[in-house]
Amino acid sequence: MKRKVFIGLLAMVLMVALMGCATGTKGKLVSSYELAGTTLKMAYNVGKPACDANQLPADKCVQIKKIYNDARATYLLAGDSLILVVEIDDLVKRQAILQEYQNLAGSFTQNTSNLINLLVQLGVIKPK
Amino acid sequence: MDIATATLIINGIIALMTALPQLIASIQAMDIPEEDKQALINRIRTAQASLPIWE
Repeated sequence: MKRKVFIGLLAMVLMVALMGCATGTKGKLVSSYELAGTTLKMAYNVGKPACDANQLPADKCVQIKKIYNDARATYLLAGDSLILVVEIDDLVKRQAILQEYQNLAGSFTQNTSNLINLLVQLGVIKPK
Repeated sequence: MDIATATLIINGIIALMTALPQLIASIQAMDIPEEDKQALINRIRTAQASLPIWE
């Protein structure tokens, strides 16, 4: 499992690097958005099975689920902002939406970090 | 997943977020060709659709 996760992460990093080289700055911004979503998905793929198998207390599963769904909602909003960044040609409007995207991306990152930290505390992500 | 891998994930996110202001600054004045716009939008939509709701 550890080897598969490491290989998956390495593949993602390489994908980001290659996409960045091929499409420039705008591609890098979208690639970072994609990678952030993949990270949250990985936390979901670890946490949900543990809850479904009753490996965690019910109240902790409620907490984990809420953090994940909140992070997901923020991620979707950030994506909608990023689409507007791509679509809008007006520089002033684009700058304002970029700031909104940055705020949402920061909030999403915090939620995802909190989720991963909680999974570590609960032992779902185990230390060596 | 062990703590080292989880640390790698978190550090990767932090690195990306740290680079974000520079990316944003360079994209502010950038014109995007129409054909590239749709490709980028499709990638964003695909990423959004990849996250399931936890029922």
